[in-house]
Amino acid sequence: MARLDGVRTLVTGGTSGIGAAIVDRLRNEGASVVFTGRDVARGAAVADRTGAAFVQADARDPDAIRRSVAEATSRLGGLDAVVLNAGILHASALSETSDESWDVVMETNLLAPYRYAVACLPALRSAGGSITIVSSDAGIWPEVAIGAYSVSKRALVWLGRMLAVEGGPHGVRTNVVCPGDTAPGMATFVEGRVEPEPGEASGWLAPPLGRVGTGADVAATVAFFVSADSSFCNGAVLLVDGGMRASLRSSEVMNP
Amino acid sequence: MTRNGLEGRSALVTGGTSGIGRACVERLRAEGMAVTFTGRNVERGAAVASATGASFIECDVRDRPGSDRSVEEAVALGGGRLDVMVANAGVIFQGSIEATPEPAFLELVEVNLTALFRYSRACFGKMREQGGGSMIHIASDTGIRGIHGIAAYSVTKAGAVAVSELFAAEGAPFGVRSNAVCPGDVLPGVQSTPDGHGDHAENPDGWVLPPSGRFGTGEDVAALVAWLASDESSHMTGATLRIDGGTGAALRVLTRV
Repeated sequence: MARLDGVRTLVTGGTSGIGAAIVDRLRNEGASVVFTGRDVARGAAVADRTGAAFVQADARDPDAIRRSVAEATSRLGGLDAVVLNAGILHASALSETSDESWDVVMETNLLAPYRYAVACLPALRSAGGSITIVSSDAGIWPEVAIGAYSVSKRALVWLGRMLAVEGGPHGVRTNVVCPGDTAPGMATFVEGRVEPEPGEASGWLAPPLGRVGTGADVAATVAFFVSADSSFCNGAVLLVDGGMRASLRSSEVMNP
Repeated sequence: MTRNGLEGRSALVTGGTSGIGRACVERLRAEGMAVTFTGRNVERGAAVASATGASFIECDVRDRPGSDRSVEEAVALGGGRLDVMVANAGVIFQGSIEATPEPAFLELVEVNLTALFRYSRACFGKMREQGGGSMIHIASDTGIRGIHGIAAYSVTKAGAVAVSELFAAEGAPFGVRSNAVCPGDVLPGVQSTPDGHGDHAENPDGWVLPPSGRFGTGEDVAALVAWLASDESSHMTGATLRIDGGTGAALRVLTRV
């Protein structure tokens, strides 16, 4: 029997990047998966490949959040696990971040996970389920070049910890995964979608493990937190970054 | 009391009509600074202004254009300079994440995080242009370790610490410093909630005394703020400072007996 046989799971932002890798992995381990995303064509492609079900929903739309949770719960006949992965990147220093960009980043990376968690908690409590949040290494250690993103991901780590405390007594575990540099990189930007270029990671600084991460690396960690193998993990915050944030100068040329 | 060398410099304090903010206004005035402070309540603002000689600007930090104007006014009142910003205005809600109604959650994000970011951005621009300044963010010990009884508040304060750290990294080459002050239990506590202003909106009934044997005061926090405002702390930026009588230093209760 596969590790996640019959685990009824909702994944947000599952149409590309890390989210699609998570859908792949959870399906391969036997989970029943509903995933959200904005783009119907990308959603259909992932659904065809994995056998997961796609529900179109924009994380910035509170009504779409409620609707997608209701639809996932109804399709799956309940909810055992939620993976809050949808996120948006804004490549700008805080001093140069406009109100509009700040709002979009907060709505997508902080308010949407809050809304999804609150909407899912009743179903998760009755199933004794789990919430896995995909934050970022920038939530551990902020980065000037992605200021608002870093702030939102820090707050998101705290959201996970608070949910761990309130869900725990009801058997609902919450854990946080913080990926480091992952290729292909994020495609969703405040300004719109930018498809990652093949080979984009060749110029990136390598962490101590000598390579950048993959969606599959992150998905493996998410699958652990979804599974009963992590049944005593609650409120954990786990870097998946090849050691990049283990010290001030984990890469030879970091902080030159 | 001018040993900090702050005499004649200018400061802006948000949320200066009560609590820690008021204590900061009083202290920075006592140091001889030209102080401008914001707040929502005209009566409280007038009282603090007449007691301290500071200038009051009526402004709810959720009012974005009004907030921008308050920075411009503070610069004008400071003779064209802004040496110190104390981003203090905050709002609290007692409850778990699930028990926090969405409008309350949104208000906490807007006041504790977005307004803090917007004031910092505006003051950063002015400070960089004039060649230096000190930004002080009143975060919370909950931004270092969350407290579940005030869950949404903790989430926003974690973000506030990150804002402070980021402006420190951005500002250092320009002489602009940014530090986060993280008070523990302070009496009177945070007094603003999404439901309005109360004398003790934050309920201290369940609080446990810090190892120091007393709760903090606004004056304790204001003393740290005055130091961070001054050149005495000129190499300190991006620091996150707990001021809590030792509460957060180490656990004092054995969880296994």
